[in-house]
Amino acid sequence: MRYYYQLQYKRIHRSFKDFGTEPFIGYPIIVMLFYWLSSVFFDRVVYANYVYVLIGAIFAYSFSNPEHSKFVKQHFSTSGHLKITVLNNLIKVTPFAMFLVCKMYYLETLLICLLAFFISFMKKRSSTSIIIPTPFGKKPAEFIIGFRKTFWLFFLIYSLTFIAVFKGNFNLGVFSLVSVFLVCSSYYMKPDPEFYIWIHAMNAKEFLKYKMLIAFKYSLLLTLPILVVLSIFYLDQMHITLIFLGMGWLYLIMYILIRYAFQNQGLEMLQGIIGVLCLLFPPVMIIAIPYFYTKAIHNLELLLK
Amino acid sequence: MINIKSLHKYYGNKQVLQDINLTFNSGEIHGIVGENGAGKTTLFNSMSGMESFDGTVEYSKGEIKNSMGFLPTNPYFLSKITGKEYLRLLCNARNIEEVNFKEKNIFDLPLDQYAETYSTGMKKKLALTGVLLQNNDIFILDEPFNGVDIYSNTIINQVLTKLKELNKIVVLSSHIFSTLYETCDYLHYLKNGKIIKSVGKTQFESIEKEMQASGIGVKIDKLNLK
Repeated sequence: MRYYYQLQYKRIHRSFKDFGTEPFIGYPIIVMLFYWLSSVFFDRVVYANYVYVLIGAIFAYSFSNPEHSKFVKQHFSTSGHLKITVLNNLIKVTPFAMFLVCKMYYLETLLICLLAFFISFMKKRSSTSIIIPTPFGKKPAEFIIGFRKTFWLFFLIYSLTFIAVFKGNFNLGVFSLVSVFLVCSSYYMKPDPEFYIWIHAMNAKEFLKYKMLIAFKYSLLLTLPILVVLSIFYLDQMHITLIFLGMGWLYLIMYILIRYAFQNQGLEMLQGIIGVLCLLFPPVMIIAIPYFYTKAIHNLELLLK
Repeated sequence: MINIKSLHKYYGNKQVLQDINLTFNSGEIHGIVGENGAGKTTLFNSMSGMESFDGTVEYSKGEIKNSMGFLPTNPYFLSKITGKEYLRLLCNARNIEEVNFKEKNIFDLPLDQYAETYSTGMKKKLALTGVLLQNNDIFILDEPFNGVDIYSNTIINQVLTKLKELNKIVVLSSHIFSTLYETCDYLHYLKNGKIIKSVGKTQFESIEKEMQASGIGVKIDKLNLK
């Protein structure tokens, strides 16, 4: 068991190195970032202490890989497996627990540790057999996978659109439109496996165009309900809706380009940072899009001739 | 015809493929054999263009990549994709639009289930069906019989015979000699990144014996099993 944790430590170390940073720099950054985010959370959210406990427990539950758990179960004794599972969950909630201690929420600290303990006995299914129908079957790729993972978010997003109508809040409607593009851009966060690029009988330019067209069409399909509702109830502000629609497409295109610009470099976090930066300062995209396009073409040319 | 000339491949300073020279003609089935780690998969990846290398791989009919169906040893399936959607994705990639997947499902796979939930053998069969539907001229099959049941093995053998009849180029690897005897016209023995022997059908046994004689008994003794 000791060697198991030595290996986990090594794995984290290697992840930092793969990310392109030294662990002694990475650790303090993560700690500071976590502290800052937690502080902001406590400043802005009501009943933050309870929500924080819940977030910690959800993190411990969702951040476990069923295949990893299966491996531990197969190769360790029953008691060893149980100890590792409990300890792993406690380790995962430790940062949350420590912050709660700093804030002097002792009862909540105890609660999060207890939740981590009980979560260890919950079985997580590695894959589900329920097939979620989607309208993206013609070109099964990012949208079909992404939609099946995030379909529940669309209930919330479309609900926001209707709330925007009932409450007479146009901005909320625009926010729901933007949310669709944020969700869609997350479909391009994971690198495309080389094999799935290689199989295309296209050159790099054609491939990128193909990917962009799919994203354009399918994101339009997902935003259509919002566009229809906003055009009926806020026709006078249709130009603003269309501006945000255009921006959304630009944002999505940029994410596709970033994905292939950083293909197989394990830089998902960097992708996220650039994405947020472009969201906060959209003019950055004017420089970012051509840059990432050139870089993506260069990368893809290695696989697509 | 595929002509491989002086193919070398390095991972850092380590040479994994050394001066590979091979010719594959249409209507021929070639088998590549060798111990684990001999370089078979690297050779296939290099031929497909998925890995860079020194040397040349020439194909007489144009761009090799767009005519090649590649079956990896362990096919990777995207999550939340059904078998049918996987096949459609592979067909889309080659601009093949209308396919009756139900009819083409020769292995009777549950195409409406997520591919990631398939067993090892089913995954292999799905991936093979995918490359067969792409209307390729070249087939690189890395261990096509691995994990597949006897009945499906027979189907794969028949598919290979049909591909040969259709004048396709087939290059495969396998550790099961009985299937190689049945399917291949030529066998190439890859050892430590080098082709040390290439033989026709009548001499397959010589490679099998050579591989078996590589000190297996001594290695097992070293285990000191109790």
